[in-house]
Amino acid sequence: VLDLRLVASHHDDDQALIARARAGDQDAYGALVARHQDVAFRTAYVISGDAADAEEAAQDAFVKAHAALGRFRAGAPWRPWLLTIVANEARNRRRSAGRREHLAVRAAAAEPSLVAASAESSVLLADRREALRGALARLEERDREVVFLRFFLDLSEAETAAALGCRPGTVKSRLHRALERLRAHLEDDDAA
Amino acid sequence: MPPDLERELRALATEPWAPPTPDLAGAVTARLRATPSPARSRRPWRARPRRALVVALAALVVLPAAAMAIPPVREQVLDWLGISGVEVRRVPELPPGVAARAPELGRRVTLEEARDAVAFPVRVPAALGAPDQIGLERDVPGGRVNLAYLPGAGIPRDPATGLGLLVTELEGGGADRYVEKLITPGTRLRRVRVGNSPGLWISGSPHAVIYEDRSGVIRMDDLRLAANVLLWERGRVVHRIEGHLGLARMLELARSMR
Repeated sequence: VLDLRLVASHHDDDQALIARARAGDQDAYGALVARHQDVAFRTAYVISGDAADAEEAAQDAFVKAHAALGRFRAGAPWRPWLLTIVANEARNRRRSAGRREHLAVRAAAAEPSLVAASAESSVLLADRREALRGALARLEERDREVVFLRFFLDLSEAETAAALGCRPGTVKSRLHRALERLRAHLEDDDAA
Repeated sequence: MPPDLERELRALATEPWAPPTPDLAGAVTARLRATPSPARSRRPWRARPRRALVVALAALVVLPAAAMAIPPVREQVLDWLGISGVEVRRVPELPPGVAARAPELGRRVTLEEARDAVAFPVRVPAALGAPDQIGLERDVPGGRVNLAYLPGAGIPRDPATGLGLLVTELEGGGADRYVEKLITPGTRLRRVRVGNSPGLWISGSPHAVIYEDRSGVIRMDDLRLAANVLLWERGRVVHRIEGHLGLARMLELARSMR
């Protein structure tokens, strides 16, 4: 459940920090970075598919966002603006497909202990999760991006649009198509 | 779409799926402190329709009648650099906000790392030996490599930046790339050849570079050294050497690139 007051106060905090950072307060900007570094890093990771590239992209994006603070419209939400810069940085660092880590595959490899510890019912769940990861890994980049940004990062449609560089209205249809293809992959698995 | 699938995805998202977030706040504040003039070191402004760009540039590019007496520099340059998308325009003065400053060289890397990171061959002027610092800029599509040399024997110091020479290499020729070099009436242009490649010698007063990157963001380049520039294209790679040296010496350095 969304606590609107909480969202509003976060927004106010951002605005206060931005105002101070604009006035030259580097600590205020540091605090702003600390508030958003998770979402920035993970967005960069979803797009670049590589931890080192994501770190570099997010770090450069924050430095550039600082340099561009003068052009940020006061009162506007900070996150979509930031994510546009982050996504651009990450996209420019995207490597050839072979060198990418592939999010879902990586997650699967990192997590054998969950399976080992489970009772029979959760083993079934673990199988399902495994299938889901496999299906995610088989999605095309475009589809995987929108699914991760919306469901794993929990970005709003506006924020997802900013990260994808598309119109907010396009996010819904892209997500819909991505989920259809994900479901098709899962059904292929079931049939096999 | 089945809501079950959404629920399953959200459940999967509660498990670790991304590496832990590094301490960006610490790294970013350290970088800001290390830069003498942190704000506006480069100006990525939001992507706008291209028309807006053209209008903005049209406002900048006022060709006074006097300048028309000068050989049509723009056509002359487009003639040979049009292929790589580099366009040179003469303007009465540079846009505000362009000032000499220490150039941002990008992430510090070794030569091997730079060669690993970009698709084009990175060449070093053999006449100078190993650069004092190598920077890799990954925000430029295709990457950009900067080789910086400190002032020394035969290499004068740039008063604004403290650097001696700056060699820049990037891949040109992207059809979607838009590069514009702005020069002022005091800037002299001369066509030269570097080996078999066409080149341009820019000397006199400062110039600026404006370009549109692959994602449509319009950027104004740092002025870098307020110095003489030898710009040439070899294959698809655009090379640039900047420093307070004469044409003959610059050509020597350029020919020694390997």
